[in-house]
Amino acid sequence: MSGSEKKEGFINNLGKIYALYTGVFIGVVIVLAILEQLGVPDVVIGYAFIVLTVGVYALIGILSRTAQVSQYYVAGRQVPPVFNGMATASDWMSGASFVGLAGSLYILGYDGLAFVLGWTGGYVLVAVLLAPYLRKFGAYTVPDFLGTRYQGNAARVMGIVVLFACSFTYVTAQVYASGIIASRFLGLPFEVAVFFGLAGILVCSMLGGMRAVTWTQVAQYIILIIAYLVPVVILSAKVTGVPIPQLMYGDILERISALESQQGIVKSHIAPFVTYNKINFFGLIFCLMLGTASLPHILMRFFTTPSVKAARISVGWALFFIFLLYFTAPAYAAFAKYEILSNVVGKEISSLPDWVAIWGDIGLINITDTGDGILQWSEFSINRDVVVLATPEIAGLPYVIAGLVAAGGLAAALSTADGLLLAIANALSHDIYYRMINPNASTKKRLATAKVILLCVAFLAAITASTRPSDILSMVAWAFSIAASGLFVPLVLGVWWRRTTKEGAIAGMITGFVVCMFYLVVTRYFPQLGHDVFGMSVFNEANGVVRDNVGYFTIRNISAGLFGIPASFIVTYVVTLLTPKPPQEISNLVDNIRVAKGGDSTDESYREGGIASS
Amino acid sequence: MESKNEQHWKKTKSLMVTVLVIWFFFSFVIHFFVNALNGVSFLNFPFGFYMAAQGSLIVFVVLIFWFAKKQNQIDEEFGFDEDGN
Repeated sequence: MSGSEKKEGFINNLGKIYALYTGVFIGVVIVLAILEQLGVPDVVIGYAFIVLTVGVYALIGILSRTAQVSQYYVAGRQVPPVFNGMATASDWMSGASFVGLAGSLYILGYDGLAFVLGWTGGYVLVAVLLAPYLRKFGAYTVPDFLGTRYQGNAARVMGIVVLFACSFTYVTAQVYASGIIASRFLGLPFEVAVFFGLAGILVCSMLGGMRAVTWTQVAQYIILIIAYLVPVVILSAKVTGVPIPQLMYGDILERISALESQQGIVKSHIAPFVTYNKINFFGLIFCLMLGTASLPHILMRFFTTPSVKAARISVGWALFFIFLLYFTAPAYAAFAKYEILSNVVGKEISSLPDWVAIWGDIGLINITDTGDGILQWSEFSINRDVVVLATPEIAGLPYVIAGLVAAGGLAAALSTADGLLLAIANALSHDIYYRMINPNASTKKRLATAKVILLCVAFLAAITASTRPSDILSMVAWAFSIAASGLFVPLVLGVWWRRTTKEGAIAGMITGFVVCMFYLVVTRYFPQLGHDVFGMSVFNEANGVVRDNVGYFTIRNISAGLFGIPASFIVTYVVTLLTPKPPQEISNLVDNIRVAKGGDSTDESYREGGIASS
Repeated sequence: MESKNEQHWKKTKSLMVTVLVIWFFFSFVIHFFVNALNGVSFLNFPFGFYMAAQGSLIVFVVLIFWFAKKQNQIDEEFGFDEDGN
């Protein structure tokens, strides 16, 4: 059997292969559950989950190793839409979405739904405005599109700058999250566990690039979604008698409201615009959505489908698989709040449920008693990560479920890290090394360079993560505003407005990026300067002029894109009208990408160094 | 007379505008009225909360699949689809 037949056999049998994989995974969970009942210690169960799942990812990574450039960069453009959707979903959902989103919703109530809306609605923009056209264009990377559409290295380099700014903090946070999970379940010191996480990421991506990452991400999606759904489904069955938490928590919300008024809690779970005022609530949705449509590691996933038609439908599948997790997260938050209001708050501190003590011991739950021995709402605080992590214990489930959740969290962190790492490393190896430094490099040399750069970026991220940089972790949410301010306008106008000129796009990218970074850096690091020199107002007078507490129009820095995106649009528009029309060949290129028919706009000879066909 | 490409792009643009209007309504407009909507109960949920937690998300998923189908129809009408001649 020849190599290509084997490959086609693999693509045709994907459904069977992953169904078998899912069955085996469920079987392993059941075996581990039986072993636990037979008295196998928890630490062995924890080890088994981490080692087995990472072992499978490594195996997929090694089997998918490749020496072909198009396999390495775009998985040979033969990923069927449903599977690309799954891979995109796990690329998208980070360790923080998996572990932290439900906790944020617990703390913020209705206002937290801005994240749920913002992180899903952006896919409509991806499907309608960008994915099919970028697929038709036929690039390997997002900066590659910018460099061709806006003729030259200035746009390409600016694209790489924005890409690096939004992706590096993000990947560092994923390595950090995988280190936390590995250290907890393997009992390693954190600084060592970070490098274990790094190894888990590298085995998936280094040998096989996009091809290996794609098939690993599908495997990771299956584990993360099972791990996310199982605990809350069982909890829902226990509390309401129906195992569909997403449907049943309406009932729970009613009970929460009753308990809240009974206990005199002022901040209601369902009351809107309490933490975020309207500007911030809608501004955050806007920035997250446009940011979603600009993040290079997401856009590049749609370069891997076999056709333009497949790229469109694939966005639908991606959002469907993401939706399965995001519409469950508010249910997690509601069940946790109900449990806490009915069984923890208002009870005697000496008789609290066991799980409160377990998480209290490691400092993730804090109880400060004023002296009457009864726990009040205001005396109880909880780290946002606990909501998902403690649900197995709240539901009284065996340790094997906690191990399953850990494996899910690890899958979420590793899959996102793989995608981001590949986005950064590919931009450096393809756009900087191959396009700008050495256009004559042989295939072998290009791939070797890509792998070395990947290794270097990964190490840099792991070393940064091992210092526990609290700042970097809180900066992850900034990635959306940065990406939207720098990339959204040039990408969308590049397709939808033929007139957009090179000068306009470059000026717009620089302006959007600088305006956004200015707002982020001043409000975070130089609040005094922002207040005194730039006339920013203080949000909460009681806290004074401190970080994250100054700005214009009460807009928080997480929504800095509210300044960057319009600035980028206006500058692009004005400069474009002031500069001469782009040449005919660019006009032809734009016409070509607007029509699905006729194969990639850029053919193989272009990607191997020639010019675009039109 | 307009060329085939221009007509195709015109239809594509009008589909884009339709989709984005629906997107805008379910991303922003409807959530302005959350307090009023919360007075209505839907599957035991306050309706305003439900729309932000589930309703709009379901609309987004369906909207993308609907868009993909419509755009394919436009492409086929002009013979611009990848399988056509």
